[in-house]
Amino acid sequence: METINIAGTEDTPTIKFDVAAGQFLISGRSLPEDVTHFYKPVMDWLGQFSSAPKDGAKFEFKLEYFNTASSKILLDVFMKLEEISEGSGSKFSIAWHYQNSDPDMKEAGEEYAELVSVPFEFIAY
Amino acid sequence: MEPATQNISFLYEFYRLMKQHQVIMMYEGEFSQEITKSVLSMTENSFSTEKVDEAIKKKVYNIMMEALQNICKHEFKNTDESIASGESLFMISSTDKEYQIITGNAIEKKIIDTIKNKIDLVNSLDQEGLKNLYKEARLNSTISAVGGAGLGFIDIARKSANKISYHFNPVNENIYYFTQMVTVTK
Repeated sequence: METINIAGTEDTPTIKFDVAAGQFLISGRSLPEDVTHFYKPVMDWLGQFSSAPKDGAKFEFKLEYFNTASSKILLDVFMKLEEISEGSGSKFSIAWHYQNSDPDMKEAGEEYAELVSVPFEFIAY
Repeated sequence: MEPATQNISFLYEFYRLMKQHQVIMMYEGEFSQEITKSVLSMTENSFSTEKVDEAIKKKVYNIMMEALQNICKHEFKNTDESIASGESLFMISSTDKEYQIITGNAIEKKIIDTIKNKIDLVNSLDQEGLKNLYKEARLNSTISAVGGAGLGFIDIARKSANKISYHFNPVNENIYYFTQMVTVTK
């Protein structure tokens, strides 16, 4: 299965999805002009992942800022993970990192956690 | 030939006004993603010397991001000689008690009601109401052709925690200038 390795910029996040290395990470800032286009590789990757899900995969989110359009896409990602987990019986987890000084980022994670069955772990840094 | 002192002295007046209104930065012109990134990064630089809680700075930054992208996606752009094309405005001030994020952009008269209804709705809700509206709207939203999720005003209102002020000034029969002020209490 394909590996995603996208370097972050001042308006787009770093994305590393690598099954062999067991690394699934989205970090940095997400305010791309065209979110659908930017996140297409992620959505395509999740499509492939659904036919060969890795039990125990931990998806890490370490975001500094994201815009509302990215917020919608992130929800789509979480719902897709939930769908794959429920369809395959594989267990995943989501690690939501937030800066100690950023209660809004923690709350944003909690609001996602309320909406999907995939368990969230909250990690302050 | 007389030196052009009179003509350039307005700059000092302008500077004085900006100081008086505690303007951190102002941008006028056509907006784009590149401009959004520049304005955000310049504001971030000037924030580094502001002695304010990081959480407050982040709220301001988030509001700016949504407000600037709202302009990018929705400013009225036309191809004729109209006065209203691409003359959007962004300004951020830092007073003793709050940050003020002010934007102005031309819009078509026909979308006034849509904007007004969105702002009046978020202004009528408390934080809990805004949180519920955001969650519900995000579940039901789809990314539009211009790349928006239709959540901008709700997010701005949540981060601001104050009411959004707005005004529409007529430019001509079909075009209005929409100004909006969002504040974040320090």
